[in-house]
Amino acid sequence: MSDHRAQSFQRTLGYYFMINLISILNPSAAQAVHKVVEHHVAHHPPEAWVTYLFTALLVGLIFCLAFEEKIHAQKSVIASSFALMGLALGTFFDILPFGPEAASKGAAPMINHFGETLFHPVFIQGVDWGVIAIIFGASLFVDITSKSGLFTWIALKLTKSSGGNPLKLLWAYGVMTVVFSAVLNNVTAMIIVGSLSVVSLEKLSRRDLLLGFLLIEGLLTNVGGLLTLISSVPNIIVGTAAGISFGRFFVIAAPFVLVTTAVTLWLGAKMFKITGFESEHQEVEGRRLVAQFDESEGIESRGFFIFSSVMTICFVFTIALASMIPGLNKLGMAYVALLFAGIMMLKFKSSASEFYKSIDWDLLGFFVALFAFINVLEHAHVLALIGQGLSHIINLGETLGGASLLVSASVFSSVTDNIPLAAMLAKILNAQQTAGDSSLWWSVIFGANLGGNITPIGSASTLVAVTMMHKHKLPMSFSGFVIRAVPFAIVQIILAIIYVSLFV
Amino acid sequence: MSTIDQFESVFRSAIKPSYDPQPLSISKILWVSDLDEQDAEPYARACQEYLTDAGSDLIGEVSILPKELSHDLNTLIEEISKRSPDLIVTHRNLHSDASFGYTLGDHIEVLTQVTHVPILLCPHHSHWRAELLGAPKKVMVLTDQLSANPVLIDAALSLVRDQGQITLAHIEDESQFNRFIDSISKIPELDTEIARSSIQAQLFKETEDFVEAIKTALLEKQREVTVHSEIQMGHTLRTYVSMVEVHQIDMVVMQSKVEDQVAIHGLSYPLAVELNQLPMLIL
Repeated sequence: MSDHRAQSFQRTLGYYFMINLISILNPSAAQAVHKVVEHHVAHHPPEAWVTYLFTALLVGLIFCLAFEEKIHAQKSVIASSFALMGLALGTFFDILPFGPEAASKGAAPMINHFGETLFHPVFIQGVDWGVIAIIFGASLFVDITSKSGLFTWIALKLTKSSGGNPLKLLWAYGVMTVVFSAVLNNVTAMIIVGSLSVVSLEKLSRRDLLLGFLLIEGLLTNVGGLLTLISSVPNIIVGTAAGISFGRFFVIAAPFVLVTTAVTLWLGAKMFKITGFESEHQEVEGRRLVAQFDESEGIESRGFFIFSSVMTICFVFTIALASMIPGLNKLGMAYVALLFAGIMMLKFKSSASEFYKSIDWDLLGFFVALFAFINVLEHAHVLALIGQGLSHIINLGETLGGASLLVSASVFSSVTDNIPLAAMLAKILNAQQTAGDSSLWWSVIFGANLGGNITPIGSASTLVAVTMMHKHKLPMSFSGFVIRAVPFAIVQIILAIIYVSLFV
Repeated sequence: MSTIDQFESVFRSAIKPSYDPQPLSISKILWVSDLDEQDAEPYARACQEYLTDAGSDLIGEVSILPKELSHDLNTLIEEISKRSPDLIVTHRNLHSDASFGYTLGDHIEVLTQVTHVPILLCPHHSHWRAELLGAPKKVMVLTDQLSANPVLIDAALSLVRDQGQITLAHIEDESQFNRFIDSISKIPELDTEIARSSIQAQLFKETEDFVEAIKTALLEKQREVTVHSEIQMGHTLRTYVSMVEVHQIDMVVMQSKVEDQVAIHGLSYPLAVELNQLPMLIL
């Protein structure tokens, strides 16, 4: 091993000297050479047993994430532990792309478009900061916007428009769950709509319907999470890797989301016996009770409410059109998310730290650690190994292969976090040079999102739905959830297979 | 704004109370007193005029219960049950010594708890005259006793004169509030000042919302009655007594019954004893 490391070091030293020399003479040539060099230096194949060792680490991470509740550890801590372990082992086995300056600068070199050499720690280079920035900016923007009372206003308006009719309420809340999941994140959508369901059904003395409402809403968060490129993290990761624009993503996903939402609500109403009013007296009483909701309750400032409404519309449109707006097409969606968050922050400039507290730092820490870990796995050729296994599925053909990939992704994401799955599969499909318009990307997107509907631990939003059930003393065990949710999940996955096979 | 409880709180506080006025229907009034029939007559007549003044909906017949039938409590209750009046008009210290102002007398205490008929309790006839009984211009309702029981407002609206004024009085017991805050101040996880200001603001807001609902309903019904509210934190009894003086209240409307006890409602009794020169409508 020591001979191998010495040879590698000499080789690396030589290559970087050459790149620096060329970059002075011709920056673009230097970049081209760098790509070749980086590939040559960093991707020398490790021994097979090293790859298996890192594969075991990956399996360990997946198990720990699946049993997150049992081991009483948060995601960021689990992923960081594996990332730190992976980095240490990766350094020891000399599979990471350190340059000759690593020892003195404590970092690995990167050469940018202008041929400038930048030194970043090796674990920083593997992180997809675009994804992190989108999540950070969008979370901050949504949190400040919700302060205006906009989302509670929409929720209460819809409640009143239902006239207290349970069936209309189910459809209104179902559609609202999907739209909120698309605009906000799935967990926030579940919390808003779920909380409103609790309060309004209590007000209407229809607490007997609460379990059905919460379950259906939980399942619809994962359907709504499919609507846009920024609706869920797997969408961002896979969509970005495939180079799918916001507009194209929406055009492809929207018809599926529309049909699946309608089918889920219809099935839910049948399964939980949610019907409309049976008498005129019920109708009058229902109308009277929901009329007591005051939608302006959460609005502290009319001006800020209007400003937030306008900004939300602008945000969605800017994100959608970012790839067509000169300048923004270079800065990307991450910049748009940060820009809008920054503008909203101006309103609360003296109390900005309050909003930082509401950011899900555990989630962001998890992403950073996960990306760093996956980067190590890539250098350990673990992703290539999985890719070989996956190629058997993909080689079944566009239709059968895509369907198998979708089902596999669903099953996998039903028992563990769909983010590592999405990140890994995106890397693998990218490495296999899968075309951006291939339906395989969509198999991963649909599978990773809908798989969350099979078990209560399949997604964070279904877990929130179950937490709300328990908070309100509604019995719901793990198996009870699976028994009730599987019919919905099967229907949704079948619809997804048909849709991806025929229309994508 | 990210937890389940935060959003549930927002939605719960968005539920506003509503009020739909349901005027009392009073057609049979029973005058119960320890006076002889001829002495009771002016009071009964005054009572009739009083109700006529208060509003055309309330023109009812006043019958006088002979004093022999009200002396024994069992007989009195039987008579009330037999005659089933819509309103009982009586006075303090019925068949008891009124020289000490520390009690309402056994008859009144039992009557307020046994019967579900509203009782208009007048001052004792030894220091009060029938002429003083007139439709009140200024009525005070104890709103902290309402708790989804708008019948107190209905009653006040039925009895107040047109162009009159209803004061919705709400006093939060300061000593009780401070006791809770004192406990909170010993819990490190809770910020005492935030708890103090938030709880007080919420307590007041709920009453203000209810007052707003009443005002809106009266505006819709075009009742020519002015409604205003007095919401304060303080010593409940002292503050109510002082409010009566400051606003020159003619009548107080309050509740005497509580579901889980047989004794007269906690605050109603001492207040009725204190305000011995004022007619009170007890429900």
